[in-house]
Amino acid sequence: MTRGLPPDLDRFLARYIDTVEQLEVLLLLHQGRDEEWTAERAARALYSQPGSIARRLASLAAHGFLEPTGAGPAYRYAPRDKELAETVSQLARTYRERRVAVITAIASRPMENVRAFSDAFRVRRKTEDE
Amino acid sequence: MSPRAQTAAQLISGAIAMGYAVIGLFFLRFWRETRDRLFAAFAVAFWVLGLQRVLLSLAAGAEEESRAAFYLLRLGAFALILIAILDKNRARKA
Amino acid sequence: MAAVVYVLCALTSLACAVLLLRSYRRRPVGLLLWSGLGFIGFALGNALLVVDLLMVPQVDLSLLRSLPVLAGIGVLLYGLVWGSR
Repeated sequence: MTRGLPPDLDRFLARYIDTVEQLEVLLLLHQGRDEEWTAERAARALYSQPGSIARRLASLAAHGFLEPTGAGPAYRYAPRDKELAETVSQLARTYRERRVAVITAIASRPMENVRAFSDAFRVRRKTEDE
Repeated sequence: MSPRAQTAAQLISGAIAMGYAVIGLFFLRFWRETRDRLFAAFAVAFWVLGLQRVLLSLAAGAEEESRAAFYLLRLGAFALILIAILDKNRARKA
Repeated sequence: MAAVVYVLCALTSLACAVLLLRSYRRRPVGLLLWSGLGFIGFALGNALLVVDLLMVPQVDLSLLRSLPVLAGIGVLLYGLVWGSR
């Protein structure tokens, strides 16, 4: 457990958030929740590359945070249940107030070695973090 | 086998069964903390291997490992591992 | 029939070992090394089982083939205990 962060945030991060970039994409869409976001638009807002942002969007959609909105591909913030929505809001608040703590939690997640074990069984490598 | 060798064999068999069980426990814990299905599969697989060991020891004339039940259990355990690996590679690669 | 199953088991163990050790080369996490070695032990144990059943049925290898399995378990457990923060 990372010192400081409440355990449910810790668990949430461990389960859904691989990188700081993914967190920022999620929080960006959470903040602009009534709008549609394409990878290009989000990438511009975050000063990042559309290619990797597109992957993050797809991944977040697959986990139930976003829903696709027609051609684009574009997405809108649409958490699949209330609990998830509340946790994301809490995360957004915490990220504003304690940015370093959140980033530390993502970077040094518990079970990092264990995740490496699971990742080893991907026959084709993840391209993002090799 | 001499009685001493038999005792040694049983001791080793017990150690192996226990080892499998503990390994399974570790994978259970990993699954609970990461919710990664692969670990659940590995946990069950190792427990099945442990079970197979125990049953093998308890069965009379335990040297014949060509008995259907035993090798089916082992097959099941490794098939589960294979399925877990396939599943990991089939799912979205995000 | 049994031999086919055991060959499959040996190959699966070997596949796990290869994946883990390959990953270890890219990212030197201890758990990957020890678990990779552990699965080699299991592969060896299953391979010896096939040998025992098919090639040398007159000799009982049951004690001998337990040893790589036991070693594999020991090594894997070592990796799990110390490597799973």
